Amino acid sequence: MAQHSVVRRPGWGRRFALSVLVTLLVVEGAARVVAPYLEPVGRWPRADYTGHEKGLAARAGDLDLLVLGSSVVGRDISPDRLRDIGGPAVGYNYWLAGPPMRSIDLLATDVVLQRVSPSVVLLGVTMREFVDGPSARAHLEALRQSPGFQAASGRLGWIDRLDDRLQQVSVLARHRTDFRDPVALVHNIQAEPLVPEQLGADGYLLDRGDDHLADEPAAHVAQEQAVMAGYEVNPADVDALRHLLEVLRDRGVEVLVVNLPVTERFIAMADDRRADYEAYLRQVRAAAEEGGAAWLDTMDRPWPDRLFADVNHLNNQGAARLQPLVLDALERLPAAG
Amino acid sequence: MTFNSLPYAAFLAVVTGVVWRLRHRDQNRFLLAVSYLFYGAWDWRFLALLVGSTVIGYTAGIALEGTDDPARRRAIVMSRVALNLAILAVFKYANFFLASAVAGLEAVGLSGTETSLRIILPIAISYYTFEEISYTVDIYRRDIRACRDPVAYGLFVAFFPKLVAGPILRPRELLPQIERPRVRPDGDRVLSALGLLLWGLVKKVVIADTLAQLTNEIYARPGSQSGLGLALGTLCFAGQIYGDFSGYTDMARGAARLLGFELPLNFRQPYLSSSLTAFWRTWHISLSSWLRDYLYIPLGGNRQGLNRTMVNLLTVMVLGGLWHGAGWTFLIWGAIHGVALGAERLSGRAVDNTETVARWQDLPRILVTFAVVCLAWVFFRAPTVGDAWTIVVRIATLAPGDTMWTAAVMLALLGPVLVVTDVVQRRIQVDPEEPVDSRLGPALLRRPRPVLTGWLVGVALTALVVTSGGQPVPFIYFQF
Repeated sequence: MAQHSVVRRPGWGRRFALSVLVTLLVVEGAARVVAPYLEPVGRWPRADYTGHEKGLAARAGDLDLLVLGSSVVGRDISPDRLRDIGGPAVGYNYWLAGPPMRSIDLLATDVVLQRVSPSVVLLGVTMREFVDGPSARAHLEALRQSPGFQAASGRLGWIDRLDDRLQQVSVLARHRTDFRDPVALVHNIQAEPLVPEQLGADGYLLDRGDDHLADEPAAHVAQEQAVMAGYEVNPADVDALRHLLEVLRDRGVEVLVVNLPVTERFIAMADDRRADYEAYLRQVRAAAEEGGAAWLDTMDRPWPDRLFADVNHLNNQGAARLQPLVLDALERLPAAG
Repeated sequence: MTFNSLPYAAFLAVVTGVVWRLRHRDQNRFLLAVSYLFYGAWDWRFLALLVGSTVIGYTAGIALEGTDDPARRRAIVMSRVALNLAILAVFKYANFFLASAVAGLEAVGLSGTETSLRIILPIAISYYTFEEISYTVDIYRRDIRACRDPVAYGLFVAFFPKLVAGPILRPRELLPQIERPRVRPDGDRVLSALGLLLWGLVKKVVIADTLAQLTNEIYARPGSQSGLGLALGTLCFAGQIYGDFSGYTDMARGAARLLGFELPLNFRQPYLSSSLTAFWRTWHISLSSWLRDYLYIPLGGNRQGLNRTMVNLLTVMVLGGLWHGAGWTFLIWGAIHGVALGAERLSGRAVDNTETVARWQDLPRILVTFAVVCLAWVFFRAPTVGDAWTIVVRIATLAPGDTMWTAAVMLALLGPVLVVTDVVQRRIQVDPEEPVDSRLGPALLRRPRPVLTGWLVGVALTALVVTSGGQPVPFIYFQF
């Protein structure tokens, strides 16, 4: 390229720097105007995590009972209700929305169990946590990459710390994934804002308690069908269960693995229906027993559709029926005896 | 440690800070050491290959100069080039040739055994191998003298700004800059270097990586995409590969300039070309000129009749395709360019507009040339020849299917950035003294206006903040 003689007047640098600064401030201001119309972006992939972080902090220290699993256990089991009917005094339900077992294992071992020392862990499972697919992989990746997880698990490198700091200061940086795609940005601004799930003080999922199966939104059915299509028990998720149980056993924690109630419609979403369900049940039960955990299969009795809020979450009526069963199993744990 | 990562920024800042505190000879030693460190950070196992190749090249150069016996000189140069090509053949092409041989046997009804040598391609091997070949051949041709300083020769091969993806430098371009004391860049040169680094980063992170996501999604399911959707995906790839590779080159030039070196241009607004001939004078210039000087001309070039010229063009372009990767898609990509160049030669209508400003009357030729380039990009990008053919057929027949309109929006947003900067740059390069219609060019390059420059830098930084985050995406040409 031809060389050019460059002419700059005195004060050039100051005016240049001011111009850069003003441009950045104008863009940041514009981002702050748009941001209220967008989904809030936290340091975790979903608002649930932030809620659990606060809830767990409020019950810091030694927990009598820690409940782990997906939103199914989040909706089905309430530590406070168990306490009210004679269960453990202090409990917390740290459930995740739509996780594979790998995410539960990762979060439990690297974050939750680093903060609390429970006497008993209740791990609620359904066949949904043991299937691989785009949704499961995205969940695990979003968790791994989130600044919240990386900071909580001590994995935040210096570059990530810088970026985390930038995201805390700048709305533009925090909402960068929204601003990156103009089409999605317009769509997100026009879309109805998502209402975060309501958590009780014990982490219990309060939403959907009064719902019934007949009123289930089609979008939820479609979402579950997408996850369950081509069902096969994923060995990596069974290994994650084994790993979690091993960690808990090494810490001397009593574990109860509960196969949670789901509807027949949910089981039918798997390609081979009952055969897939039986394969899941067999492998997970074997892993639980090998890991020294107690096993409770709540599906050994009928669960009428009226007890469900949707295909795989109990409503309040169903949850009320489940709590005594769980309490009974907890009381039969060796430590309880 | 890719150029678009913070560790590289820290590395470059430290190297620049240290190098100007040293004397000339120590600068070279230091730069060689950090270049090896930079290369070793990719994969330290291949450092031995780089060092070994350097030692052989250095020794061969001195041996070549030390004899006037033509037979002995020929033997040295042939064995050195053969060794270089053998290294390339083993690391880059062994699996391809084995798989092709097995497929060929099976096609004629013989049984073949699927064999994979599990050979990992050492990064940068295609670039430094070609540089070392040109060094040996240039000494053989007595165009240059052998380098007696092993550190200088080592730095010629391994200089980190150009090591992993070029430009492919000739000894005459870089060795004198290494051997002579360099001038510490003044404020203007530092600013121009930082400008190249920023603009290269914008082209890579903002333009190329954004378009890459769209290309990847569209090319992942060619069968379900509409012809229009696939055409948009191909345009996205055209923008992606230009932004990616020219962005890398700008960053390489910027980094070299901070260290007192000047690397040649590797791109000169290639998509403004009005013929394939012009395209190859402006796209990956260092590779195309290398192929011209060390392959096309030795094969006879255009001096042995039209038929031989056609064969030479096709041979050079097919080998150029294979240089990019061991696969049939790259071979076909090269063949398309070879045939198109041959057709231009036959028609006698190859218009070279590389030394003129972009004019409206050239637009039809520019669009036709760009269409041919994009047709070839389909084969370059598609994972298999079958996929590429599906894409070409679906585009040609305007097949119905999914259309990712986000691609159209992003092309509308990012495409003009590339086009406008190319038009302005071409104008300035052709005649630096001529007033440019747009005041953008001279305002930035000759009379930089603080407010306008600050605004552009602010916009660039904003775009980088929005598009960054997560793991840096590797440069496409790192894999070649």
